Amino acid sequence: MTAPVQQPKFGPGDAALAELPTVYRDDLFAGKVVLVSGAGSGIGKAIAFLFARLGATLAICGRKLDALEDCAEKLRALSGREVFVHPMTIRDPAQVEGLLDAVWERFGGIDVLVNNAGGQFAAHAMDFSDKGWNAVIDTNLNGTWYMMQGTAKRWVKQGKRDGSIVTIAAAVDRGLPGMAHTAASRAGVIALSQTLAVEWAEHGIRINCIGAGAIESNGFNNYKEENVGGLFRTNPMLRAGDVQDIAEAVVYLTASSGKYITGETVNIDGGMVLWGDFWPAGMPDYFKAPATNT
Amino acid sequence: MSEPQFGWNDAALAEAPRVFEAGLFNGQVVMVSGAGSGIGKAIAFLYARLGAKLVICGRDRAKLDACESWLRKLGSPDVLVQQANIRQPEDVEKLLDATYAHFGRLDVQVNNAGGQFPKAALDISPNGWKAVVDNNLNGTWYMMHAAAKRWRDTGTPGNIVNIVLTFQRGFPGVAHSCAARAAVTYLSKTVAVEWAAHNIRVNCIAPGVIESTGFKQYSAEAREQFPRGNPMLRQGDVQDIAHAVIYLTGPSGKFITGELLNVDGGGVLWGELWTIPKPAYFTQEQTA
Repeated sequence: MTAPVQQPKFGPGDAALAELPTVYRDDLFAGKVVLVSGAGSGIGKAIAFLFARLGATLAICGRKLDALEDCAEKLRALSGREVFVHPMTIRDPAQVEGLLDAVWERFGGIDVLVNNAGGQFAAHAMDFSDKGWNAVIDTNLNGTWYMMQGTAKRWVKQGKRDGSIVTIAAAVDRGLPGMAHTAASRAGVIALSQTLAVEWAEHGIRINCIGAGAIESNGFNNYKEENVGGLFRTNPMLRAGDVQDIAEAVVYLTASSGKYITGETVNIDGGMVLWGDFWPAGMPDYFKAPATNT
Repeated sequence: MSEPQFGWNDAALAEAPRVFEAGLFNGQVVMVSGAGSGIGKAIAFLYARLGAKLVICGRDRAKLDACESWLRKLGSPDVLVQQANIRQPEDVEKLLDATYAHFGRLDVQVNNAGGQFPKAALDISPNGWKAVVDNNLNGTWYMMHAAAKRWRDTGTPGNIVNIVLTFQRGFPGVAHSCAARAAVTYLSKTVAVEWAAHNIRVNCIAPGVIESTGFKQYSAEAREQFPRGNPMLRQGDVQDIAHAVIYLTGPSGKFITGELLNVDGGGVLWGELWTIPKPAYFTQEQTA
């Protein structure tokens, strides 16, 4: 008897993920090496799955070895190719160096870097502790920077001319009430990417971001139950996105389809930056519409 | 001496590398305006290769007919050709009537028709100004509005992509087009919200310097400097735009609406793009 397959509360399970429809031809990344951070779960795992299905060789990193090993096992089954696993935290520049050394040692380099690792917790800004603030900035902004610089240095040293970096940020155009720290860190990453897209254009490196809105994944488990319902009504489409929306955007930007795109942020948010309320830590009474008598 | 050729010829375009799976648009009807040449033709070609039925419109019948035979050869199961001037609301109504009479449905509308002529803003005549605004802004609006009303009335989902241009840092030499394209972009953001209620997505693509037949209207001096318009120091190709349209209108774009996607080699961040000769003012040596 096999163990019952656990169906996650939010987002697709691994079996469903492996079979999600994709718009891309299945040999698109044959012969390419892709490094995905935070690939043990959620959006990162979906990105890794899609690249594997499109023929890429994967290197994955993250903090939890067991989650990475589990993901790698499924990627191997999916692609029939080797998957390189390296547990680490992007917050530590030495560990980033260790990761990149190991990946270069194994594969001789990479073609695509996907900075998906990152995270946040919902809280109103007044309630932030210094430690909580620093943790979010350190992971999302500093960690992403270490990964980008470490990778770009190696590409320049190798004389590689077509490296591509995509960072999963957030749709921050109207701020993100209830997640000020992540709004700040993601906006930092977006402006950093715009700057590097110009500075590193001479090395043939393209750098883009994805501004994710409310995407249903296991990350939704981090929010309080009473606030999760609202995450499905943050935008004019009145629904959440799915992990494949992000994975297909990463592929679009890193494949030849994106070869003339750099310094760009694509918001994948159902139009949230135009209309809607996010409030992952709950909407304060002040903003609630007064009750109307009908 | 023959005229210089810009962009790919039809045979090359038909074989341009594609990232999308064949059959992606099987069973769908896609309308492309300005499909007789340049970027519009490249968009229509790619949809045909992905299995879409097509409605193509434009002002030049002969160019549309030539495009049609390619579209059928490339695998489009059915093509409707309609001569139309999008500046005329009656033409647009007729186009939609013909589309629904022939196909009974419309899934995607790509508003690519538009254009401009390079001219220093001081020298733009009222007629020239009106022609550009009428074509790019009003024409696009008639098209979007007409399609959206059909989708609302038939209770079917809709999908619009408008091809604009990178206007974020202004666009010296084409002030009229810059104004019209910015207007289309913010019109699109507005109706992306209003029409979300009808399950209609609306997005824009802002090409930077894309080498196509449209290059002909710029001077050789201007063209020579075009690659300096972005940090990649090169021009894009029509397939870059066609791929962006497919990405946004395919299932890949199903959670994207009200968005502007720049396909410009980073030109909105760095570079200098003059469509008219650069005034001497900007080339003066700095004095100590």
